[in-house]
Amino acid sequence: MNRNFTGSLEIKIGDWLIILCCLLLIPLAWVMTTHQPGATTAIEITADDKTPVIYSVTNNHSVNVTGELGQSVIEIRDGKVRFSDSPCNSKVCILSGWHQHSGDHIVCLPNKVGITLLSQNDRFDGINF
Amino acid sequence: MMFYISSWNTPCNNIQLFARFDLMRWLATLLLAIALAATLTACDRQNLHRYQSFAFGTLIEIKIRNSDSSLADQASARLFNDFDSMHKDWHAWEAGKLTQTSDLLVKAEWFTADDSVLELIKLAQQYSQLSNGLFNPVIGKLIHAWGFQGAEQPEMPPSQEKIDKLLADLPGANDIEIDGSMMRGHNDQISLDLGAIAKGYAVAAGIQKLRAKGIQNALINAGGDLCGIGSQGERNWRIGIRNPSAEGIMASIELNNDECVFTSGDYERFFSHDGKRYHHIIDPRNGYPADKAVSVTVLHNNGAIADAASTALFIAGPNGWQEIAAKMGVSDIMMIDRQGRIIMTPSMQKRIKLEASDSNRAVLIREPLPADFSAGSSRPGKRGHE
Repeated sequence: MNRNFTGSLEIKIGDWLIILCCLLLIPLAWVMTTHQPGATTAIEITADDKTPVIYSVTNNHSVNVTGELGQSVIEIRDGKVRFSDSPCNSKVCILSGWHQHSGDHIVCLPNKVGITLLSQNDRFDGINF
Repeated sequence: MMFYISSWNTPCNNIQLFARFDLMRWLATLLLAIALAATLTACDRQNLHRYQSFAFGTLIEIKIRNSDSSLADQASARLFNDFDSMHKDWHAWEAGKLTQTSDLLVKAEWFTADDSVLELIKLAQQYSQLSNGLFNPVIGKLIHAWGFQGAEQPEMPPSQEKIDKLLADLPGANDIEIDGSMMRGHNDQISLDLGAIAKGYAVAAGIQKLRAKGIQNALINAGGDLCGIGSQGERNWRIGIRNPSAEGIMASIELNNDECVFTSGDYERFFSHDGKRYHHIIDPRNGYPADKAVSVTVLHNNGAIADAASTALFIAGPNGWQEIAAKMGVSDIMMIDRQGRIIMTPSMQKRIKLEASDSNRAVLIREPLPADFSAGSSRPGKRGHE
């Protein structure tokens, strides 16, 4: 028993390498998976079946998007997103107000413009309404 | 392990050293396990494929978790094509298979129904009967009179005279007679509008198609109504339920395998006239927008039932939903009434997690009627127009 103890005393360089790798991997994986869960970091705009375009929400700004009927204006402020103007008649998209949860969608069906709120780690996989 | 920890403070130096070393090994193993788990989780997210397209009159999002990205690409593309075909076939007012069927039904003669609409009409008829006619799939003319068929925003409600005229001979689902693939109508006012079931049927069918292709983990979101199979990876598919009367999320729920969550609410489409708000869910009993609930959320493993039931229960309201729910076989229900109170079944209460901002809402727990609630006690003819 004593021999086993003395033979196990040294922590070899391989052990330290394992510990070092673990210490590096954990924060990396943490950032990849759990950074600000649920907080919207970007929006994806799909317009009139064109390729979706991703915009950051870190700065306050507006995006003009041309859809089937004309130009929709999408306002981004303090991490929230809304339609501020739309050529559609119903204005349902504008009336739905501000949205901030990742996984949520805002859609102007007549103009065929859709917004998806994205996050590094979505709190929700979809929003029911 | 307990031995080594408890040995940490013994005076025996060898044992102390052994304990120190073993603890280091143990810590290294633990760190490695955590790192691997976290890294695998991060890798798992790379297997999550997301697709979007306008189809079925809304923005549809398909999420597939699968290591074979080409399979996910092909399956989603096929599904969007299917949704597009279904949307065209089942459109209530744009010329297509459904409008052709409505035109033939008003002629009151037998005809062979198109396969693309037959199954859905049969289901709609069945659910309409179970809902005592509150879900009525043949009142397209009434919905049209309110201006909710078309992209234009209605400006004013129809006159009382017009509503009365439509109600005087309002068709019900039983006015369609079906014999095999043959069909005929018994009311010349029939106008099929399957808007309260078509999306649920399509999304559930889409999920089954993905499963048939070997995809075990997927979520389809059709304009806020969702069906899912499997999981997101690290957890079940988690759905936020939007607050029906304010911005933000009021609750969340994690879907079990092969489950759908559908909500009907008064906020989806509406217009205001003379200071009064009129929404798109019309009560076939009086011809006006149903005014007893703000929203109804239904969980069910059948998307078509979840869709039709959320509409029927919304129309039934806080005092009439239990009978309809029992007949339709729906037990996981959450209703927001006009006072902003949450009415939930006990089974739904176990599934729903209210957001902190909504934790102070009044919550009323109402037992559903027994599952074996018989049609004999449902007083046929009391409601609806069957």
